[in-house]
This record gives sequence, structure tokens and C-alpha cells, in this order.
Amino acid sequence: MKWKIWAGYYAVCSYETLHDAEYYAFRNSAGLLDVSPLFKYRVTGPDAAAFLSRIMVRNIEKLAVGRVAYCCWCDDHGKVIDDGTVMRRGEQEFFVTAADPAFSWFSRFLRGYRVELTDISDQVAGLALQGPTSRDILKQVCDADLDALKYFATCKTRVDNFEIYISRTGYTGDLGYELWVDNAHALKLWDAVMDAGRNYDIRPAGLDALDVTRVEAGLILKDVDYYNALHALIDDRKSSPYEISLGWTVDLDRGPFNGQAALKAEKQQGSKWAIVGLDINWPQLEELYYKRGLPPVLSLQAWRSSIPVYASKDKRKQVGYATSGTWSPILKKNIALATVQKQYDKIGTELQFEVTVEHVRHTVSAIVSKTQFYNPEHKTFTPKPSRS
Amino acid sequence: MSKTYDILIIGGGHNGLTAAIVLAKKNKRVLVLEKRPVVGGLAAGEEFHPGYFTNGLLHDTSEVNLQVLRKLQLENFGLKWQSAAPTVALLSKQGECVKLSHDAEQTATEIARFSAKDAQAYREYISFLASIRPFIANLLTDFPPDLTAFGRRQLWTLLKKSLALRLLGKKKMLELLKVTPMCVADFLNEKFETGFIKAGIAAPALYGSFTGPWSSYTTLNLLMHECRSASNIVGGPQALINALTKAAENAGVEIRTNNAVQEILLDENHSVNGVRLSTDEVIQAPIVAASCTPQTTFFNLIQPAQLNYTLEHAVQHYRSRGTTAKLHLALNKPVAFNGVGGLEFYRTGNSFDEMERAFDPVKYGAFSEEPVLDIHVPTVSNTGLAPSGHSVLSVLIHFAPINLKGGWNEDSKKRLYDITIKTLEHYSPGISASIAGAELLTPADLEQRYGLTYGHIYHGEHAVDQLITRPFPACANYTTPFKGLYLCGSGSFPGGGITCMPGYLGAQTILKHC
Repeated sequence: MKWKIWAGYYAVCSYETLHDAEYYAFRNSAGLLDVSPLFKYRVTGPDAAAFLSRIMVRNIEKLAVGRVAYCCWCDDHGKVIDDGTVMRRGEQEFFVTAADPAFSWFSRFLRGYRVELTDISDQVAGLALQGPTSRDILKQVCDADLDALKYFATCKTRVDNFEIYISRTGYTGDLGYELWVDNAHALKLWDAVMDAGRNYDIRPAGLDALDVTRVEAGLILKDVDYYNALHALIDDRKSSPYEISLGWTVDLDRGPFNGQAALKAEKQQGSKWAIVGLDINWPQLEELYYKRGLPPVLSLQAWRSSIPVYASKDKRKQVGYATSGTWSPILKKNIALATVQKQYDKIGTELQFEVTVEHVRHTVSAIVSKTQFYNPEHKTFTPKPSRS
Repeated sequence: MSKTYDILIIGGGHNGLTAAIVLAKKNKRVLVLEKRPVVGGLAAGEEFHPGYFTNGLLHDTSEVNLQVLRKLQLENFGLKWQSAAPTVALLSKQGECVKLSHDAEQTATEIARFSAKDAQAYREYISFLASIRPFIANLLTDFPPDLTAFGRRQLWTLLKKSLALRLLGKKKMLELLKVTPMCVADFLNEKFETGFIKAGIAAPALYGSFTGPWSSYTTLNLLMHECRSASNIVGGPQALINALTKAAENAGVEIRTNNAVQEILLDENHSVNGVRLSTDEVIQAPIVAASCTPQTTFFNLIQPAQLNYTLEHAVQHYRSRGTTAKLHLALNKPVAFNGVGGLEFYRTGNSFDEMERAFDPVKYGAFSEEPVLDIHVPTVSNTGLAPSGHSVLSVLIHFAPINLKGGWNEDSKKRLYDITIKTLEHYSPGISASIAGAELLTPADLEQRYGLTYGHIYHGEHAVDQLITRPFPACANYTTPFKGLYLCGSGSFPGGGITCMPGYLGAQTILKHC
């Protein structure tokens, strides 16, 4: 078993020596992952929607009750601080998740709004149940109408004698749910889900498996694929939503929100950078190893270091850098997420990806592709879509 | 409703009116919106007891910029003034009194009664002030130097200002550079020996600044006061307001009292559209100049979401902790302090230590047990303010905090009143028996009545970091991040008090842009 520290908690990297079984659980059956270290906030009050709309790049006032919005929030200069989900649990009640502590930032904007902002990070536990059999497992423990629960919808239900919130969200790019429960019932919820999942090949899963799935799904990670603008030591480390593939979350033409002016300007003038997927050429990589009399070596784990990306083989022109990548077992591809200059972000563009073989640096071809490498139909499929 | 305006001015205080006249004279259609039933703001006189009037909440007109009065041709509207500060009597607790007049030699002779050394020191002090006055006065009557722009004009201005500093001569320049950051106590202790004289000279350095005499940079406040204290408006602040009002009407300014602005209207590009009044009436104009406090402008009149965080943070941390209370007394006879009557201005203080002790409690949410008083007797020159033979006392009480522990209520007001009367009684025995009426205004009352944020009489503390880029860098130079929104009140350079300067310079800035 491997552990690491996540937001002050010991979190499991993998329950066994290798994480591959957990990865396959996410992709073929179901994995259960403790995501309690996420930061969690409750926002309530008559102005809750207006308050969040002012902070988030997305117009939260348009978010319907029972829906979830993935979005990010920016500083005054339109640079991303963090990303997370906003769940509308009621007309005047929201639940927000964040990767970094956000209370101090959110609370700066309380003036003038009739809202109550509460940091419930330590009161609420989170369990991610992800994988193709997750719906069937969840059906065993609660009577929520899961066949009707759409992608990015949320609802309240009961497990035994306690309440939980379910959101059809996740970080694996698969069918999956996140379960939010008061700490007092967290262990009971874990046990209930594990018991129910026995017949569905459920496995406790750790962060190593998650990391592979999130790269396959093209989901970016703060402090890996971008930096929190409030923590960036230099301006060059800050990114706008447009530059980190979150441009689609920005709702520009509405009332004022943090970073609006800067984002409008950037939208007009164009961005400098873009996050793209890279499909790294395997035969070329193999060839480099064979030339040195070695079999190709790839870590089973996803990596997260900065790897230069060039426009041409002679490495004269670096046009970006890959920030995370992995061997994708399900796609049988060597893939990466990379930040490249905007003019190189067209799908199909051939770039050169640096590889080091036996202490010598080479490049292999890498084709710009969608960040969502793996996007199965069952991720968003709703068996009973007629009901909202 | 059909009338259109080029510029709306929020607040009809002396700065708002000054700005209005400057703009109207350049053929701008100007509307002044005043929340209160009267114009004048802190310079307006009030009837505080039947038959007894003040001629301004603030009573010192010695810092009014005479060049501005002349440019506005206020003499044509009945304004009279002297080009010298009025005489101020410094009071000691031992019953002594020294009169500081604009005649340095006469003042030195007065001081010599207590100390020959101090008399000589005073001559040197006055000569030092005379030599630096052109430099300091120029700094305070011109636009604040822009240290960020590198245009030819800005560099030229900087060069001129630096040159003016250097032209003081090596000795004076180094002296000025040395003393500016000093605390006023150290600065004056180097020169004088008589406690109450030092304290009396130092007192204006502390007004509205959240400092005691031992606080650093108070010498800067003192020098600023001394260098621009060179006028005396006949009839006091209210006379200035009367003339400004007439001049404004003459220039075509429309003034509406009882018209409270509820919101500054901004379009989606953060440009000003006009204002909405508390009656829901919308008045459109491309330019709004706010002479109310910066906090009122940004926090009360603009929707929270319109403020970016940087600005929000700056407004939130703009320091304006009110420390001044005001007492108006109606007296049924003439008044004298330490046996000296017939003067308009008196200051108490007695010693640096006593002043510092008066300041200390406000840091902890209490008021001075023995406050420093800045006393004005307007009836000396303006007998019409009270029934014949009676007098009015206008007393600025230092220090009483806005955030009084336990809050301001009838009880705490009574305690402050009693303490102040006790202090006055020390200098003017029997004064309490002659009181026909009284009004005490705490910082909370000032906030309520005049819209002063935290009851600060200068729209924000006078401090070196809140001077050049006043109120804060994002809004220095009278501009704001909102196109068409300008500041022209005491929250802008060169600060509070009755000077006309923020209004004048604010208006000049608007003219540059349109």
C-alpha cells in the first residue's frame, strides 16, 4: 500500500504494489475512492446565486436546482485561481468543491450579499464511485432514481438511516458518482457501498489509478497542468481559462464577475497558450530504445513533470511543454496533456515531444489531439432521459 | 427630466461646489446633488440651539487656497478674506497663554515672556518655514506628482519638483529631508523648551491623523499645515459656502438639495451612465464626480460586483478611523480662556506627554480622559451667530474613537460631554454656568449626519501613505477604474480640511479628459 499527503490528509495512492487493478476497476467495473480531502463550502441565502456568479466565470444564476456546474474562478486579471464544481441543492443553497482552500478568497466578496458562506471541508466526507457498474452498485444502497439522474445532476437520498447527496460527477471520465455525506456516517457509507459492490467487482481505488484515468479523460490538475494564480511566483505561471481548455466555462456577457474585463479583452485579442492532448508516436519511441539495444520502457504510473515540446526535430523552437501524461492501457497509446503556443493547438498538428533514452535527449513525433482521449458513451448516457 | 447634463457632482460641500464652478465656467452643464437640506457639508453653519449658530462644523479657514478663490472670482460674490492665518492662543494648564500671530516678531516677543531661547527658536522656525513654504505649498496646490508615468510631461514635472527641492539650498533641503519623517515631538523638542508652546504648535499635526505627537511622520503633517495656513475667511466657512453657492449659480450650476444619490449607474463596460436617486429618479450624464468619501462612492453607490477585488481591497484598507468629536456650546456671555478673551482660536495640549496620553485611548476604543481641544469662538468676529452679548463655542475634541467600546449612546455621550466641559472649565472657570445650550456630535453622529465614513472629518486619515496617491493608488489623481467617474472630495489629494484643492484639481482633471 502506498500513501501520500493530500491537503493534510494521508491519502491512498494504491492499495497494492501496483495500481493497475484499480485502474481496470475504474474502466471495467467500479472503483471507490476517498475524496474527502477536497475543500468543500456551503453557500446559502437569498443572494447565494448572485454571489457565486460574481466569483465564478460561469453564470451560476442560470444553474437549475439539482444541477452541477464545473467551473473555475479567476483573479481580477482573469487568471485562474482554482477549478471545482458548484452544485445547486436548492434555490438558495449551493455546495462548492475546490482543490485549494478557498474560504479566504470567497469571503472577500461577501460585502453586499445576503449569503452565508461556511467552510464544511472538515464536516463532510466525499466518496467517488466511478466506473461502468457504479450505477448498479449505487442502486443497491439507495432508492434515488439513478436511471433518470443525468450527467452533472445532483440529488439527495438516504442510505440506511442517514442522508447523502449524490452528484453524477467525477474525475475519471467514466460513468460515475460522487457521494457527499456527513463525517459521522462516512464509514457506514463506505461499508454499504463496498458490500453492495461485491457482486459488481468493486475495488477500493487510490490516486495513482485516478491519475491515469484523469489524463485519459483530459481533465486538468491544479499545480500540475496550471498554477493557482494566487500562488504563482511570476506572472508567466498564471493562466486564463481560455489557456487551460476551460474557455467553454466562461460566460462573458452577463453581469460583472471577477476577471470579466480581462477575459473579454483576451477573448477579443486571442490567447497566448492552449492546453492540448498529445498522441505520442509509439514506433518512433520504440525505435529509439531498440537502437540502444533496449526494450521500450514506460512507467505504469502517470507522470507529471515538464517535458519540452518542439515545432521541429532539430529542437530549435520550443513551442510548449507537456505537463502530465501516461500510457493509456485502454487506448494503447502514449498520451500527454501539453501547454502549447496558441498557433500550434490545431488538431492534427505534428509537434516533437522530447524523450530521454539512456541519458540522451531525442524527440519523437506527437500529434495534437483532443484532450479527451477517452470519452465513452456510457459516461453521459442516461437510461431514462425523459425525466429531468 | 428632459434636461441633460455633462457632469453630475455628488455632494455639495465646499469641494463639490468648487469643482462645479470650475466645470461650469468651461461651459459644462453641471448638476450638484446634495443629500442634506443645505449645501456646504462640513463648512455649513448650523443652528444647534434656538438662536445660536455655528459657521461650520470645521472652523479653520486658514488653509483655503487663495489662488483658487481668486480664480473663481469669489470676491465678486461678496467673499472677503485676509491673506494671513488668524491669531491662535496656546493655553497652558497653569493659566498661561501665548498668542501666535502671523507677525513672527510679535509672537517671538510673546514667547520671550516664557523663554528667551524659545523666542529665538521661534524666529528660526518661522524662517525655516518661510524658506520651504514655496516648495511645500507648490506640492500641495499642484497635481500630485505622478511617479508611475514616464511621459515627457510627467518627467518634466518630476524634474521641476526635484529641482525646487534642491533649490532650497543644500542645508535647507537636507534639513527638510531629515525632519519630514520625524515625530513632531522630537522635531519641536530639538528647538523649543516650553512644554505648552511646543504642544500648541504641534496640535494641528495630529488633527484627523490617528497619531499622537510621538508618532512618526507627524512633522510632515505639521509642515503641511504651517505652509498652507495663510488665510482667514471673513465670516468663516459659511461665508465661503455663501460665495461659492452664488458663484455656482452665476456660472449656471444647478444645485439640488435633499437629493440623495442611491447608485452610480455603470454600463457593462464599466463606464458611467448617470445616477439613480433615492427617489428612483434616474439622471443621465457621462461624467460623475463624487465629493463624498471614497468608501461611500465605491461601497454605497456602486453595486458590489462592479468592484474588482483589487479595488475592493484598497477601499477596505483605506484608513479613516474617526477620532474627532464636536461640541457646540451656546453661552450667555462672552468667553475668555486663561483670562484672554476677544480671540477666535484657542488650543490646549499643555505638553507632549499629555497629548500622547490623550491619543492613547483611541487605539483601544476609549476616548481621552483629558482631551486636546481646538476651540473656536465664531461670535468674536460674527456677533450675529448668537443673541447680543452671548457667544458660541465650536470645539473640536481630540480624541474620541468611532469604535467606542460599548458603543456611542446617551450614556457615553454624557461622559464625553462632562469630560470636555471639565477640561474647558479648567481654562475658563465658570463656563459651565453660562451654558444656555449644547450639542455634542460624536464620530458616529458625524457619520450619520454628514455621511462621513467612520465619522472621519477629513474623509480619511492624513498619513504619508494616504497623501500622494490619496486615497489609494488605483484612484490617485482623481480618476477611478470606472470611465467617467471621478473623485473630487477630501478623500483625494491633498486631503481634508477646508482648502478647495481636491475640488479644484479634480475638476481640472475632468477638463483634461473632456
